[in-house]
Amino acid sequence: MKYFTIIIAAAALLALSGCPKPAGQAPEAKGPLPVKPLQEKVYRFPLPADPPTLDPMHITDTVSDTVARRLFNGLVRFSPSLEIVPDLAENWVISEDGLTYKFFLRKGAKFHNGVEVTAGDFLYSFTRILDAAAAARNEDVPSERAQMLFDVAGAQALFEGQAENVAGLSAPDDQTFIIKLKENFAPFLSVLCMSNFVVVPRDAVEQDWKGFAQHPIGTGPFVFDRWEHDNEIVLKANRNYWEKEVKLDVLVFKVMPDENTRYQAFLNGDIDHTDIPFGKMADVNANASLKPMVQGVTAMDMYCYGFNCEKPPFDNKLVRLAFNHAVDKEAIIKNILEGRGEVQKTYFPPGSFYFKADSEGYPYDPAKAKAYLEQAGYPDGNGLSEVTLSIDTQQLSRQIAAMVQEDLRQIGVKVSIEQSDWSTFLARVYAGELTFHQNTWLADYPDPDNWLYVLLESTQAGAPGNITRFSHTQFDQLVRKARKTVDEAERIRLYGKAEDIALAAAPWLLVYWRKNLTLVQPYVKGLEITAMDRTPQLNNSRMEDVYLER
Amino acid sequence: MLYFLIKRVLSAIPVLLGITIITFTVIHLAPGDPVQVRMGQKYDPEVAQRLRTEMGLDKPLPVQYAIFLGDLVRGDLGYSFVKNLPVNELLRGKFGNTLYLSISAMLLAVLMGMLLGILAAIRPQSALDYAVMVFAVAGVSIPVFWLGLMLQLLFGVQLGWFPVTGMTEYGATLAENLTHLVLPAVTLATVPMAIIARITRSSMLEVMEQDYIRTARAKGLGQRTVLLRHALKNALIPIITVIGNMFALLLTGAVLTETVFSWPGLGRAMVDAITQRDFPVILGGVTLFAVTFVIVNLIVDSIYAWIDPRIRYT
Repeated sequence: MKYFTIIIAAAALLALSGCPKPAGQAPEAKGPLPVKPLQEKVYRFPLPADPPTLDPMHITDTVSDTVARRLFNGLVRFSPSLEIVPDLAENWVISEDGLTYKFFLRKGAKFHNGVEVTAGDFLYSFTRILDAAAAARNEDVPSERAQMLFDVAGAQALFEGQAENVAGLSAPDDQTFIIKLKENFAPFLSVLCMSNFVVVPRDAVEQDWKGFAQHPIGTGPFVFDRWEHDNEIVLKANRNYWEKEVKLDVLVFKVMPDENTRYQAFLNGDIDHTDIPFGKMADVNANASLKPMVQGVTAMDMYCYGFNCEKPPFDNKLVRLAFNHAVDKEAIIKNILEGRGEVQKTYFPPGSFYFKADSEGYPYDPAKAKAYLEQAGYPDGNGLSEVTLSIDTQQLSRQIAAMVQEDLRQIGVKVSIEQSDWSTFLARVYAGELTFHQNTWLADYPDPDNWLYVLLESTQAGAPGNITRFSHTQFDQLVRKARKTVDEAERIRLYGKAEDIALAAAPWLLVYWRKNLTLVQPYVKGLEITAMDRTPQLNNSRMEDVYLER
Repeated sequence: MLYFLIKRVLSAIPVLLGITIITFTVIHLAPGDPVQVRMGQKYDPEVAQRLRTEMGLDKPLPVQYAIFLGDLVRGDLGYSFVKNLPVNELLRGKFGNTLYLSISAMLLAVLMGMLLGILAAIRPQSALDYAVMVFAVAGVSIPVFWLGLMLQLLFGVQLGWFPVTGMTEYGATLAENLTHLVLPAVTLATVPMAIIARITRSSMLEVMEQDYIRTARAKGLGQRTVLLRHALKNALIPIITVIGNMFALLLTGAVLTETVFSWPGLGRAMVDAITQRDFPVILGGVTLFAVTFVIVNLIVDSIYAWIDPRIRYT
């Protein structure tokens, strides 16, 4: 009898804490999800972290970026198909030599404090990014993104404190803003679409630059209301938005660091979209009410590995090619990503004016991999000491690495996996200590320059971007020339040749492009997810076009 | 008593000093660079150098520590490397949120834990006693994050009784916001509740066998009086000790619960600060935890004297 009671008590406890469900059956709600009754038109937007800052010039992460993009405007911006379209600049003229950009601002655009935007505000906003001397005077902290404007004439002079202002920036009248470059830089307009290069109100920033990061004032479709750190950020619709009527009343960003928590909250009807946690894609696909809610595209968001091209055995291109052919990327995408990826066959993602659509990449072919290994002098892996694959601490990274480890074992290569936290990982990879490591990159701007130059050109070795320390004279010449060439057809030709060199030299072990699949509540209309979006950040989706049909 | 208090407060100073020195050394020994975290992926070394100077990281370590200590004495914990905020401001709100969650969880754990423990002790070897003991074992064994997720699934998603995330809801009333507290508080309370139940039971059982309980019963006192006035009060010392330790652990141990339920508390802020190498926030947070720990221990020790007149402090 006593034992019987114990069993009953234990059973009751188990029932209380939730029993395991039969496998293969979606455990969550089968019918429509609950819809919370709300008075206002509120969009509840999940964020995976609290933004470090809302001062545009300090933004280096996707979370701050996603909030800032709803508060601010720049000169130009990306359309959902990633074309460059007017933002606060109604139109612009680029001089014959490609060095002078003249922007004509639209009239009547106002900051959230009611002050009209002038070219002088743009002049101030750009100068501020380069004015490191202001930091020394304790008036501001240097911008983490200053170097992105170093192509502007006289930018470095101000940065180094040798000038009072930037020679290449001027505002001859309230509606005209001129930028002169010191040399041609073809992707310049794309760079200007980054959230660092938006307009901020001079008076408000100068009065209280520390406070500005906490209660920013912009020109965007939403007005900052309040920010409770690690909990929520509330933005209200800008009823005087210069472009169009904003359909939502309120945009609430809810900070939810755990992906499973976000997913539960979505099922509970507490948020309006969410990413899909690791391992949950099968549940979503098996659930007739959830499946139609999935949106998203293949993003300019890479997950691959880099070889340290300076260190043995990876200074030998045959070893790098062998590794590339040894890994079954299709299997990784199918089994681990549950279909949320596309095999990477190129060094630049699909979705811009240049993409090498006919590239075969490195097809899975263990026989070929073995042949390359033998050619390199390591028949069946003999003579090759164990290599260490360094990755971050995410569960996803570990699972992918385990498959890579097994694939490489098949061709006779012993691999050990080493995980370190992101900060440690970055420090070691920049120092060139790692030989075989994770290599991820989300486009800053959808131009091949952001990949082929920043990530592979030899002067960018280390922290600036070329973490594989790849160095190839002809490749360098091609990508340097391409960034200074204005003619698009010529740029396509140059990048084509450069990418052929990269493909033959194999500085990376290509794996996949991420798909940013996102669950969106069925009553949300007008949301368009772009190829430059992480999920759940949805950085470039235009929230001013979103409306709710509850 | 006053002498005791002064002595204890003074003896806390070297403890706190030691904690800050150890923390400071450890975070600077750990690999990883706050400037790199701040700059994000791919950056310009020249700009990084400017930032390093601005953040004071170019100074020798003893100088950096001296600056931290000097500011600490004036009650200033410095400026966060990552968030554009003074650490004081950042931690103040977080600490309040963690206290709110921890105190709620503690109240629940103490009330329920002692109730269960007493009930079990009244009838040892009964069905109820076994049920309580099963709960006590299960309660300390279930991983907190798992329990949290299961409670979310059952009471949040399946039954829809309570919200599963956050501390407040945009535009909600105070009562509605209070419902946010239920699931995280229950999750956080489970482990201490189980431990308190077990300690209460064993302590009560021990006391119940004492001669004075038999005496109390013999002089015809009712069951309630015997239990509450004679047994419980004498059984309280070990329970109070456990509760004191538990409370300090709750404050620091809320990390998992805070993450699962997206609760904007101190534990989560600390974990973020550690991964982002936000040194001022790590140091500030550890100092705050240490001070809290010292204060809670002091309170617990002072309560002993109040409960047990035999204990005197000199």
